Amino acid sequence: MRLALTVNAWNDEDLLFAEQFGVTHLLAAPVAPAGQAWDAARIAAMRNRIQKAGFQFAGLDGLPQSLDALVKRVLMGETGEESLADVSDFIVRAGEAGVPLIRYDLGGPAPDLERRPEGRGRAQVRRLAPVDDGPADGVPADGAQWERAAAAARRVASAAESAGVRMACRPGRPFSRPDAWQRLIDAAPSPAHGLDFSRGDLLRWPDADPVEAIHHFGRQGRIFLAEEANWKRDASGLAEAFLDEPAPADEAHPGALLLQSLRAYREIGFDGAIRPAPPPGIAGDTAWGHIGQAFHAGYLRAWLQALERA
Amino acid sequence: MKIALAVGATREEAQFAAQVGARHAVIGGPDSPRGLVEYDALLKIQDLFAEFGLEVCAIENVPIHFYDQVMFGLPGRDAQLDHYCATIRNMSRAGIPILGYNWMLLGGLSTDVVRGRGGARERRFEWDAALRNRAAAFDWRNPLGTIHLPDRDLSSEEVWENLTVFLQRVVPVAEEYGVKLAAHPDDAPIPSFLGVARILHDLDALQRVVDTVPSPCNGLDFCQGTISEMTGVNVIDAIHHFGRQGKIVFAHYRAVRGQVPRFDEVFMDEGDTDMFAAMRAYKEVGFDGPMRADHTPGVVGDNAYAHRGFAFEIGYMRAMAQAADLAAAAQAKGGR
Repeated sequence: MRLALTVNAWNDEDLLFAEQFGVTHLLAAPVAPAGQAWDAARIAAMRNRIQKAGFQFAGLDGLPQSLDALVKRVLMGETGEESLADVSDFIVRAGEAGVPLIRYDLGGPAPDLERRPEGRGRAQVRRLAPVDDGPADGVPADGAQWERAAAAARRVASAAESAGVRMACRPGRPFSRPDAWQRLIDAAPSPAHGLDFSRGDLLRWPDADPVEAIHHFGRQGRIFLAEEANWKRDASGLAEAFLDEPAPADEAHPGALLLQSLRAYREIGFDGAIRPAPPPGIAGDTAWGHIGQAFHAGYLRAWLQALERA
Repeated sequence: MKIALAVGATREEAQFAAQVGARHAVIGGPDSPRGLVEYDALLKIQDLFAEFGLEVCAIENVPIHFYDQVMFGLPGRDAQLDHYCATIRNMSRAGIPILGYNWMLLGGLSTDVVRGRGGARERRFEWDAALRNRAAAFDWRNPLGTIHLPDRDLSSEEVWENLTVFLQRVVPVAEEYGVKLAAHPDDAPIPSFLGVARILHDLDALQRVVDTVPSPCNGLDFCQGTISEMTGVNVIDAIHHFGRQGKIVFAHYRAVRGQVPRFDEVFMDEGDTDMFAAMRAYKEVGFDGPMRADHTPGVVGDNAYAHRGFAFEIGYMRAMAQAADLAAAAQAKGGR
């Protein structure tokens, strides 16, 4: 398990920032320099920048915006799955350029509310409205939605397999319920198709067991990438939290659930990248959240060292 | 233990500390024309911090001109000692239980700023360089006041005598008012500089401080960084040694690479000390006082308060503290 951050690889300052805080693996945000096309040469140039700076290039954290929008349109049924040919092309080009992994969203983001200063020390946090059986994105997908999602996953997996790229799927609305994750995996049974596993996504579901889920998907070799995020449940719903804040189940022993999760990752032999989720907003921080990212990087870095030395 | 941060008396710094999860703040003693820490000044700072749920758990260092005559054994010594005792009484009244101090007559020493990981700016001390370029080794930016440059040498015996006078006068007052004194080792820990002894440069000296006037209120500001800079010292053993005696009243959690004659102040995760073992050692000896992040290397794009650097350090400390707690709980249960 390697500490990673997602950065804009064209920004020298972000590369220095990551290196200074002991990060060894980088995911690149899927952005090209202004006005430049995303061809194989451009992607290779980005990979080179990261590797020359001394990092392991862990992959792309998302599809370029236009392709991500295309996937969403296909899922909505606004256009047929044949229009995913552009996505397949991109995956092939990325493979040629030496990209080992691409994270992609299958589904929409949770309908979160505006950030409000309601976190620790009045940090700006997102909130999710409560529903009876989980967060507001908990409406199960219908049959047609499932068919479209399965077709998209198969197409992506097929391109990835031939390109030698691994696609890390982040299930979104309406496929974000934990039981839907396995269904998405089963829809595209390929060694090139797995999960961007966010423990935070599972914390949002009252009955989910993230540690068991790591074992479950890990046994299948389907965790390609990991994210640490934290949500706290209170009377008015779910609120984003810093990684060190204990979840309700964790209050007697802060960090216990994280420790169990890290042990589970180790037990399944996960040797990929683990990265912190975007942090709550700290007063005076940048839009990307450099101070918050530094806090989370320090927190995860120490946990990984403690795990090694325990 | 209480994970703390040294915080200036501004709203911005208090909010940062709260956001990264600190509930305890360490402050420098506010300056005053009378040469003592005034009660009203403490109340003002406490009010400011209370808005963010921060408790002032320690004062670390008063301005140097509050006690320089004592350190150097000069004629104004007795008046300064009276004022120092008044500071302790005012702290007690304000409910601040720890007073950290140092006995570095010529202040902290470093000789260079070098490029560390990712080009981060790290402080270096190199003894040879300090001898070659003595003025440059001074901590001229010392916020606590101008360094007093004596016109003669001061021997170790003389400086010890001055410290003993201080302890004999101040420790009983600290005990009466329930304030714990915490002596910081000399950083860099070398025995003398410019002919002036730096007496707190090894573990024997730290033991001598606490033995000179035995009292539960005569303890150490256990600067893990400085202690790990001491030649041949194993800092984990030192935590056990002083922690078992209950003499660690305040700790600085910091990593260093190298020891005297040369060391660099590096990020917490890349120093010579096993920081998990260190955190476990503090737990094992039952240390429950404040532990603060200390220096941080200079990182890219940081603000004047070094919030990026300190955020990394506080996050690191928080995780190590949680991991050490869980390891202790597992051990108590007979697990791993």
